Amino acid sequence: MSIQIAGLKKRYGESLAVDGVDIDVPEGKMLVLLGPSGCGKTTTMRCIAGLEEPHEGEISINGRMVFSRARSLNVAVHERRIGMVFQSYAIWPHMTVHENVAYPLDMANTPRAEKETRVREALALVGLDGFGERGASYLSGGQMQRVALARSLVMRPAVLLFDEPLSNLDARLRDHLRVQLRELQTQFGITSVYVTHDQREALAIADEVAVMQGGKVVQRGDPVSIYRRPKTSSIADFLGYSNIFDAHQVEGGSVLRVALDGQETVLDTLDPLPAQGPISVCVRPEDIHIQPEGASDGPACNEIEGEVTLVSFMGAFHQCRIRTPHGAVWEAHASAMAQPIRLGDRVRLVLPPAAVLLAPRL
Amino acid sequence: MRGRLLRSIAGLGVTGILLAILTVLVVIPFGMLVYASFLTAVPFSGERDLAFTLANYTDLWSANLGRAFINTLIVSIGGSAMAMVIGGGLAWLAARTDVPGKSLVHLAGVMPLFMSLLVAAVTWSLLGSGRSGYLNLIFDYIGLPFRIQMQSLWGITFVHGLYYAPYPFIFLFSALTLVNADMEEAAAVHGGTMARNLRRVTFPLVKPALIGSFLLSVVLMAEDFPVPQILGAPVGIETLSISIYKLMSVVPAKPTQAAAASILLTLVVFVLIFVQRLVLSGRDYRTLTGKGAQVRPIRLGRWRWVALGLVVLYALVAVGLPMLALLQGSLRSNLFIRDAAALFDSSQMSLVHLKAAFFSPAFHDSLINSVLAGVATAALGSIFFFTLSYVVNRTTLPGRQLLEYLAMTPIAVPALVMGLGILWTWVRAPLPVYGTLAILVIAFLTRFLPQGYRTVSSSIRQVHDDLESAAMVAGATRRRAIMTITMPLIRGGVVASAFLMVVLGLRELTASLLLYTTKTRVLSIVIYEQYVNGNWAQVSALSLIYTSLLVILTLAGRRWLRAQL
Repeated sequence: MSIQIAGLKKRYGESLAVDGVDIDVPEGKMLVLLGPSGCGKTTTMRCIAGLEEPHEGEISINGRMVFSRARSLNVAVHERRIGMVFQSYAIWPHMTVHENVAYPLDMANTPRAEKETRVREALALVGLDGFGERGASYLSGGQMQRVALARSLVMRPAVLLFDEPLSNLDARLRDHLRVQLRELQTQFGITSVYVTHDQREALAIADEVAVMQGGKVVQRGDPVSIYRRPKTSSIADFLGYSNIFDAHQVEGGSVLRVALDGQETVLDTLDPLPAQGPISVCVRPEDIHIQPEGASDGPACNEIEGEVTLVSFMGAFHQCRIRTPHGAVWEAHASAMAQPIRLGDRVRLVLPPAAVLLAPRL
Repeated sequence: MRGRLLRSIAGLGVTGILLAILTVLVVIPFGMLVYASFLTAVPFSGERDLAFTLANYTDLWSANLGRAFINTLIVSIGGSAMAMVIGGGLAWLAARTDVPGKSLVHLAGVMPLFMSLLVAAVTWSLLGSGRSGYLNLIFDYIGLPFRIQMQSLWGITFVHGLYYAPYPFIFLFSALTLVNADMEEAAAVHGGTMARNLRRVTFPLVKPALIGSFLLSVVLMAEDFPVPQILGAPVGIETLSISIYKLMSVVPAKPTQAAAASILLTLVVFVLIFVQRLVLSGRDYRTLTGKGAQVRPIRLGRWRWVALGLVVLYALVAVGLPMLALLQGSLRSNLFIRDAAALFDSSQMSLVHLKAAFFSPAFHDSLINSVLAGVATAALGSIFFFTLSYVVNRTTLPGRQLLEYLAMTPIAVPALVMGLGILWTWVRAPLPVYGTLAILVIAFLTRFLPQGYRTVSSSIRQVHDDLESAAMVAGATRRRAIMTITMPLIRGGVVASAFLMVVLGLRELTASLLLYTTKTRVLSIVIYEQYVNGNWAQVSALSLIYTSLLVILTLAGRRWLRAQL
C-alpha cells in the first residue's frame, strides 16, 4: 500500500472541508478523487502534499508516517518526496524551462552531471527536448503543463499528485495530454492521486475512483462499476444520469416494477430495491431508445410518450429533450445514423429494464 | 513533533515581532496623544502633578479654534472643488477626447506632484504677496488695476486646488479609460444618444471615482500643514494644523490642548476616510487600468485648440511660473525690486546666492541627512513591509487581520498629529532616539506605512500561491522557497516601495518639523528655516536645487512610481 489515509479531517473556521476520509492507494495505481467544487477533494490532496495541516487523522506514504495527529507528527512538505502538478501550472516565470525542471534536483544537491542527464531525460519524456533554454513565461498552457510534469517526474517521487491538471487547457489538448499522462503513469508505475470535477476525465484515467461529496468519500470503485452503479441519486446525477425521477415500488418479485411519482409511467427494472428509504429512478440518456410514436394503443410498460422540445447535434448522436403530457422532461440520445428526429415530433421512449437503475433518494 | 512545535512557535514569534513593531510605530504614539489630551500635562514629561481633566476639550470651543475649524473646511472644500475641476477636466481630455498633444495633457496631470507643497507655497508667496510680489509688479507695469494677495484664505485655497489636482486626475483618468470600452458601446448599441449615454452610463460609472477623489482631496488638504503655515500663519489665518503647531510653539506651550485639537483633526479626517471607503467600497480605480480598447474619441472640433491652450495655461501657472519665480529669486543680487523692469534687468542678476546655497554646509549636511534618513527608511521599510505583507497574505497565522488594520491606520492620522505622538513617545524614552536621525526614520516609516505596505502587498498578491507551494513540494524549505521564488518575482514591487520611501521622505516637512534638532536638519527643514528667517534668496536658491533633485529622482524612477503616486 503506497498511500494510506485514515480518519482525515480538516476544518476551515466552522465548516468541515474534509470530514473523515479513509483512502488507500495501492502501489503503482492511480486513484481519482472526483466531485463537485467544494467537496473537499483538493483539500484532501493538499493534506497529502503537506500544504495543509489536517485537524485529525493519519497519512502515510510508502509505509512512512508523514502525518499523525495522535502522535503529533507532521513531516514538512519539502521532506515528503512527492511530485505535484497544479491546475495553475505553477511554472516559475522568472526561470528557464531547464531551471524549472532542475529545481527539485538543486534542492537535493544532485551532482551536476547527473542533474543534466536527468533534466534532459525528463524533458524528453514529456516531448519538450530542446526547450530547455526557453523562458518559462513564453510557453503555451499545454507546454507549461508538460514542464510541470517533467518537474514532478525528475526527482523520481514516491507518489505523484495531480490537482486538476487539465482544466485550464482547451478540449483537444486536454484529451491529448490526458492520454500521455496516463501512459507515463502506467509505464513508470507511479502511485498517483488525481483530483478532478470532470467525470469523463476521471473514468478515462483512473484505476480506481473515489467520489466525494460534502467532505466525505461517498463511493469507491473501478471506473466501470462507478459508471454503472452509482450508490445514490445525487451521485448518479453527478455522473451523467440526466433522467432522475422520484418513484415508488408497485410490484415485487423477480422483476421489480416501480411507478414514477406524478407521471403515469411504470417501469420494470432488473435492479434490486434499496434496503430502505425513498427511491429514485436513474436512467442514462444514451440507454434510452427513441422510436416514432406507434399508432397502436398508448405506451406499454417501460415506454414513455412525449413531444420533442430540443434537438442538439453532438456529432456521434443527437441530444434530445422530450416532454411528456404530464410535464416531465426526459433526455435521450438518438443515434446520428438513425432516422432524423425533428423538433415537435411525437416520439416513444423505450427503456430496457437493464437500463433502469434504482438508487436511494439523496 | 518537535519540528512542528518549533515551526508554530517561530510563526507566532514573527507575528509577535511585527505586532510589537506596529505597536511602537502606530499604537503608542497615538495612544500617548489620546492620553495626554485628558491630562493637565504631558505624561512622562517630568511634570509632577498629572491630573485628569476635560478642560482640553471644552477649551476647543474657544473662538480661535472654532475659527480654525471653519477655515480648515473652507480651504479644503474650496481647494478640492478647484482640484476636481482641473484634474477632472484634464482626465476627461486625456482619456476621452481628440485633444492634440495627449502626452502633454497626461504630463500636465501628474507634473505638479514633483513640486513639494512647501516649495509651492513659498514660491506663490514670492509671486503674489503684497506690492513686491512678482506678479503684482508685472500687473502694475502693464497697468492692470488689480493686485493679488496670496497670503489669504483665497490664496491657500488656490494653491491647494492647483497642486492637489493630480489626485483627482489619476483617479478619474483610470475610471474614464476603464468605463469607456464596452459599456458605452453597449449603451450605444441599445440605442442611447450620446448625451443620454453620458448621463445614464458614463456618469454613474465614474461617480464613485468622482466622490472618492473629492473626499481624498478634502482629507489631504484638511491635514495639510506647509501651505497654510506659509500663506496663512504670517497674516494670522489659522487652520486646525496651524493651531496645533502654534499651541506647541507658543511660550509657554500648551501641549495637552494641542493633543485635544489633534484628536479633533483626526476625527474629521477619520470620518472623511470612512465615507470615502464606503463610497469606493473596495474599488481601487488606480489599479484597474483600461484594457487599451480603442474607443472613438469625442471630437472637439476647433475647441480642441482652446482645450490645449487651457492645459498649457495650467502647466504654466502650476509649474512654469513658480520655477521662473525661483530662478528670479535665486538669481537676484539684491532683494529690493522697484518695479517690473527691474525683474528683467540683467545687471541685477548674479549666481552668488545659488553658489552660496549650493556650497553651504547647511545644504550639504541636510542633503546627507535627507539621503541617510530616506535610504534607511527604504532599507528597513523594504524588509518590514515584505515580512508584514507576507504574513498577512500568505500565512494563516492568528492576528494577521489585526496587523493589516494597524498598517493602514496611519492613513487616517494627520502627519502633524503623528509627529506629535512620536515626539512624546521618544523624547523621554530610555533609548537614545530623540535628537538623532533615527526618530525621523521612525516617523517616515509610520507615515508611509500604508503606501509601502500596499505596494508590496499588491505585488505579493499577484504571485499565485501555487508557485511557492510547487517549490516546497519540489523539496525547498519555506525559507528557501521565499528566497528563490517569491522574492525574485516581487522584486519590482519591493524596489518600487523603497523608491517611494526615498521620494516621500525627501518631500516630508510636517512631522520632521516637530522632530528635528540642529544636528538632524533635512532639506525641507533647511528651506523652512531660511523662510522663517526671511532669507528669500537662500529660500529660492535651495528650493530650486531641491525641486530639481525631486524632478530628477522622480523621472529616474517613474518606472517604479507609475502606479504608486
